[in-house]
Amino acid sequence: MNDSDQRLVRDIQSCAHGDRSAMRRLFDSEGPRLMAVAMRLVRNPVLAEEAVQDTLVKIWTRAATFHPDRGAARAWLTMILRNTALNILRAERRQDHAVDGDIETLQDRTTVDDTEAVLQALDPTLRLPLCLGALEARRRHAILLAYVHGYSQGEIAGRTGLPLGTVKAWMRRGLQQLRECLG
Amino acid sequence: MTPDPDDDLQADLYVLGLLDPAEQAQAEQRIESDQAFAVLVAAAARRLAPIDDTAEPVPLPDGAWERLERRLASPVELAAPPLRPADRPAANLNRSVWRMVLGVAAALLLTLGLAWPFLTGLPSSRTEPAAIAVLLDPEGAPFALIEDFGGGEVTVTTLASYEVPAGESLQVWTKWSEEVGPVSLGVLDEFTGAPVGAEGLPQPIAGQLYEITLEEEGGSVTGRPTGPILGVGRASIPG
Repeated sequence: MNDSDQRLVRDIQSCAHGDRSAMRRLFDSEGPRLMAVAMRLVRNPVLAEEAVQDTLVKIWTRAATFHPDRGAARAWLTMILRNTALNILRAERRQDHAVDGDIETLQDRTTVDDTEAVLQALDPTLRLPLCLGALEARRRHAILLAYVHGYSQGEIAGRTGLPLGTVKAWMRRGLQQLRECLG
Repeated sequence: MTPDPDDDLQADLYVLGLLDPAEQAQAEQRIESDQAFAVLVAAAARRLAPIDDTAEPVPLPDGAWERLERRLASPVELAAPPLRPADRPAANLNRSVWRMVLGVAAALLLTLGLAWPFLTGLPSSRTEPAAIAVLLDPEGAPFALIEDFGGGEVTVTTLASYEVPAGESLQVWTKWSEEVGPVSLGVLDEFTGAPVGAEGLPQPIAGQLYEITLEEEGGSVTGRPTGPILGVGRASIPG
């Protein structure tokens, strides 16, 4: 564990004691990162803040169940954030459907062509960019749209104009290749 | 064990948020009950996690901290249910007993609440506790029962055994407001049922925090909890 990980673990433990200054430090140090991940998923500052707030409240109430020896602290925070944001996204999607039945409503508000930029931005010392780079571009695009922006397979189909079955097949094959490559 | 290749895919799809609602519920249930699957989910999350590091940090909107602080002080939030399985890192399997333990704790609370006058053998004229809290240990197992009768009169009933290391003491704390912070309810040299308490405490409120920490002998010199938490829980108001 590096210093910043250790600080994070200490702050989470202090949150278990109800230490609000520890939560403030967590908010300051992790908030902008969590907000960034949330923004990419829900793409709306109000909803993204909601996801971050929900995440930090969960950490506040459940900090005592966190053990530093089990899983990295930052991964724990991110996992909670991602699940919270994905749930918000699903709820929004259901609402959109209820309104006009248009699968694309939520996601189509912004164009998302940054998946190649995400690939370029990955830490080059890792194996992940290599393995993602080895995928066929359309498979890579589909996987990144889902992971980075929370797209459903239906939304990817709508966006690419391909049948849902084709998108699902790409996704399966792409994920399998990725697993094999990352070993 | 031979991993089911389909499980690898399910784990990936779960992490990507691509499962349909029924499959997702099933996956969450399996994370709870099937260690091998939980490990696959954790591995899938780890494989893709570096992608999150490519996001340029975004400052939170003005007032976000104040909004969060209000939520942290709200008893409604403090009484929030435990993390759903999906919110927890899958690798932390031991915590997957949480839900079950909470069920047990709730049942225990109910039983103790109902049976309280009989258990204690006290005359029924004695006031019932104004608040009770089951303190769970870090693994989520019941550790102690707190009954707060109001006016600073609190009893601890042990629900587990614990040997206090030499040169150390247990200290019981409560916290009802952020402004006041944690207040010591007393120091125990051994983990046995005991009355504790402090003068001039307000009437307990729902969601009030109780915890038992391990401190140096005689209790924390700073007047605040400093040692590891052995049990922590929040108050329920009976009846």
